Amino acid sequence: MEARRDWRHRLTSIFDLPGDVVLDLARVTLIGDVQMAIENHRGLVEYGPDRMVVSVPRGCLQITGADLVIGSITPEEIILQGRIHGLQFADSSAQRG
Amino acid sequence: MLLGLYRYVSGYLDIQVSGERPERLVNLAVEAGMDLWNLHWRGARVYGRLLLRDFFAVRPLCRQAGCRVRVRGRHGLPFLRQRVLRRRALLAGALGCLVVLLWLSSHVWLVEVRGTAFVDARAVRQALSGLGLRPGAWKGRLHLAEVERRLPGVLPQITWAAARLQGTRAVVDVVERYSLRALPPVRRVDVVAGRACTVQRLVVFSGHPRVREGEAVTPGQVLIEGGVYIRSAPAPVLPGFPRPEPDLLLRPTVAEGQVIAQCTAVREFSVPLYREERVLTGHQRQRLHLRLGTRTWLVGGEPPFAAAETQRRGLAVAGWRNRFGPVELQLVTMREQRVIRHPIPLEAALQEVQNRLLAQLAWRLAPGDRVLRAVPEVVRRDADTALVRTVVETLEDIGRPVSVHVEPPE
Repeated sequence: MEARRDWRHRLTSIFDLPGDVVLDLARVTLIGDVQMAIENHRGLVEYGPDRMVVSVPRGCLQITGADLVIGSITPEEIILQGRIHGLQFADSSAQRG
Repeated sequence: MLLGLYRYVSGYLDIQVSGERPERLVNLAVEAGMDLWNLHWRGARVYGRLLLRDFFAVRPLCRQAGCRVRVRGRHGLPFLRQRVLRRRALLAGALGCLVVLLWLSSHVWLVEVRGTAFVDARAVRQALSGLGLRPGAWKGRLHLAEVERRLPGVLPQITWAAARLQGTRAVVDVVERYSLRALPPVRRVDVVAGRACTVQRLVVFSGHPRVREGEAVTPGQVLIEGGVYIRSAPAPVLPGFPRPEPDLLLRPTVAEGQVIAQCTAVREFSVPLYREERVLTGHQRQRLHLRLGTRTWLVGGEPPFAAAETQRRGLAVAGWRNRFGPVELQLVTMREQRVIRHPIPLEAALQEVQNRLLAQLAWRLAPGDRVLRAVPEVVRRDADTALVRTVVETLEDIGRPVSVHVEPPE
């Protein structure tokens, strides 16, 4: 598995391919600390006004902040608005805290 | 913006989600392809927005996720429509207002004439009224290009016209055939002869005379020089001899005066000895043209008559203000005319020439000028036309001011 992933990494760097497509990763775009776009997500795990956990390929993404509002949510993308303080990648065992 | 418009047209609801796991409901709704947005926490509940069409499909998902959804607000066109349909009088009033507004805005209510200096703007408005451009005219029937083309023919004092619509106002810019320009402020102005004439009377208000009464002058000749002259030496007064003229230029000035001269001109006209009358024969043909932008193609129809009166009707998408559709179908109706020639007596033709000449002179001459003689004589005559020569003698002010560049004193 590790060898296969390493092979993909090499292919991505040789042909200058977008990593989120080839490696099936989430693309996170942050605009200052007021907006965040998460593409290629796997759904909401937890949602609160100051903490949100989104399931992404190979784990979870934990966002902390204040007045977090989901501007829009589609199967492809989540637009998050509010005051974002931090984000942290965790493995898929992240639970409601 | 388009997404917002789509949501408004479809209608959407403000919802309140309560329960243990609102995230689960959100995930189920997203998987089911529902459009959820503006999700936020307030108190212990999640609030958000949902399309109206998705609301009934969300109830089974609520049971599945163990949540409860309540509607807190309704927005969008379907709800607005419901509210408006309940107030029929308001709807009728709004529709009536719209109809009145459309009717009022589809007419011309003011005709503004610009560019007139000597021609009375009321005369231009009257001529425009005769061509169909008047307050109250429906914009759909106006052919501004036709008005522009025909106005100089109706009003000979106008040489060019451009008409355009600005809302309910028609603005017509005109250029007069004759116009005077204000003289620039200069230090020296001479009065020169405008035509070749014989000076009859010379009155100098300012400046120095350069011609005498009875002298024949040519166009451009200086009649009154713009200068103040003094005598360079004391002039001796000798009985029986005129005093010598001042010979030293003191300073330049603006010459003013009246130079009345008798002018003679010969004008020749070829006049027809018949009057044409066009009578409709009753035959009618039609042709169909397609206009795309500025180009026009003949689509079908019959060949035109040799002499005909044409009427053009356009079929196009209704325009708005000054914007018209690029595509138009034009139906041209041609009514055949027969040209009948009525002979005119020579005396009547000569009178016509004299009247035309006097009208031209009245336009050219100043109010104090006079026509001394204008009698037409037949030089040559054939079956249809006569060549008429008229010797015109006028008594007119021929002085024209001309500015002269003067070097500033060092």
